[in-house]
Amino acid sequence: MNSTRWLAAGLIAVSLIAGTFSDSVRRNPTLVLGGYRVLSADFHVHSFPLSWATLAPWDTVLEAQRHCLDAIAITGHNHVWVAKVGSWFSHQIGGPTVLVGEEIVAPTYHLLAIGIDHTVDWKQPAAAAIDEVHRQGGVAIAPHPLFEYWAAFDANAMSKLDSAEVLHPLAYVRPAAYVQFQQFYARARLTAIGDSDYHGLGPLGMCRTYVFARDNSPSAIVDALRAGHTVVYDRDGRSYGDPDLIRLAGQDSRFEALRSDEPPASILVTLSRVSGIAGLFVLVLFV
Amino acid sequence: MTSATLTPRSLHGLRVMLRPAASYQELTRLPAVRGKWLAVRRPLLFAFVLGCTVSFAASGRLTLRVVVPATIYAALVSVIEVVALMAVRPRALTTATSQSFSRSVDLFFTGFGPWLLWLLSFAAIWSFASPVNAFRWSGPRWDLYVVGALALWSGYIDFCFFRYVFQTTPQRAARCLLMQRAISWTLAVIIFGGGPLRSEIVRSFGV
Repeated sequence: MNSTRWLAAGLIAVSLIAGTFSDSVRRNPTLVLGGYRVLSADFHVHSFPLSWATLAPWDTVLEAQRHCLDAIAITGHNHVWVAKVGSWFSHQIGGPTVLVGEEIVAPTYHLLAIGIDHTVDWKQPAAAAIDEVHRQGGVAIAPHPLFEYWAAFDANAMSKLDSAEVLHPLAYVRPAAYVQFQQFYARARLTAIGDSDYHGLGPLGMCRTYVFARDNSPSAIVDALRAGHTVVYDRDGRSYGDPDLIRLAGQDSRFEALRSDEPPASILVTLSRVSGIAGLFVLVLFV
Repeated sequence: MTSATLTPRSLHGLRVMLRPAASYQELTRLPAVRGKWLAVRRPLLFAFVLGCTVSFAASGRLTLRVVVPATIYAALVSVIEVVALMAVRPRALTTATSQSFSRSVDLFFTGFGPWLLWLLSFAAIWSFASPVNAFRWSGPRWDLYVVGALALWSGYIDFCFFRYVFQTTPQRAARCLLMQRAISWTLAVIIFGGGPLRSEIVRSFGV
């Protein structure tokens, strides 16, 4: 093996060792406020295959463990079987609560169905899809409610809708999108949701929802969503959700600790990044 | 002695990226290379770089927990490309040119340089930028322009491959390119994004 190959191999090996050693599970301490178990959740997560995501459901569960998430909903595009695989896997390893969900992708709207058991058909209006979600005991969330989707959520659909994503990564990239999310959220009495719409890019739970539930079971989380017992914060500290819970959370320093951002990159992580990128560069161009 | 002979094998990818027509003509004149790894090494390299990119994008580092499974899933992309190449390969190729299919695969993946560089830049953005900035810098609009340009560049490289490695006419090379793209992109879309496919077709074409 020539010297260039040794260099590439060495850099990548250093990166893998440093990265793997620094890769550790991060769990939230159990927090009970006002009789509620406070859970950090992301209800809009996609897994490979079929949903333009890069991580399989078991990888997604392992990734959720690294980002202080107590619960996630795996929401396959127009299917639920991938979510069921993730739920089964998480149960086996004692991982976060995984709710079975679907992102119903219809020509004129998207809809998150959380806590369902079988796929909801996309070939129907939003109001009918919401009815089907409710028949299965789930809750319906309007994901990334951009203006182009508003027409599909007519008065009938809005009267049945449970929640809306008031926070989504698009809000940080397109300020106009954030305004549309806030306007949609204000159209009805909806449960506030913050989700990452995770496809494998960036930290899982980049936008998240704090759920105040009786416990961390899927049914308790769904009940909490139905009752509006959530709090969402954006990066500027603006809050959405139940005003009483926002007040309760604001008075407790333990909740502030729960909300703290991802820790800054350690030396090992920085080493992994630098040597990994350099090693791949050498590998691609010179090996 | 051609410049391809003088160039270390390691730089063939760079030469093909920059001068695909001349490079492929020179590479096909080199003595046939044999070896068990010939059909596997470059597809595996592509899958590994893609797996590493997934690891950087998801966890901000290279970790075995992500690199290993992501490389396995990414190998599907390499397999799809090889299947599509097999489907468009002229039947008379081996007899006419003494070109084994393994050698064809190796040369085909030698032209993946633009995609590898794009993956590297993507990995670098997601490693070093904050998540918000990374979304801004690699969002859908950026993707549209960059990936669009890469698709054109890669298309020209592959056209040269079909023209000079498969030794076909320009018209036949263009047909091979279109056919190879139709097969590989269709399979990739079905496997990676097939969930909303029918709905998106209805939305796009109103059928």
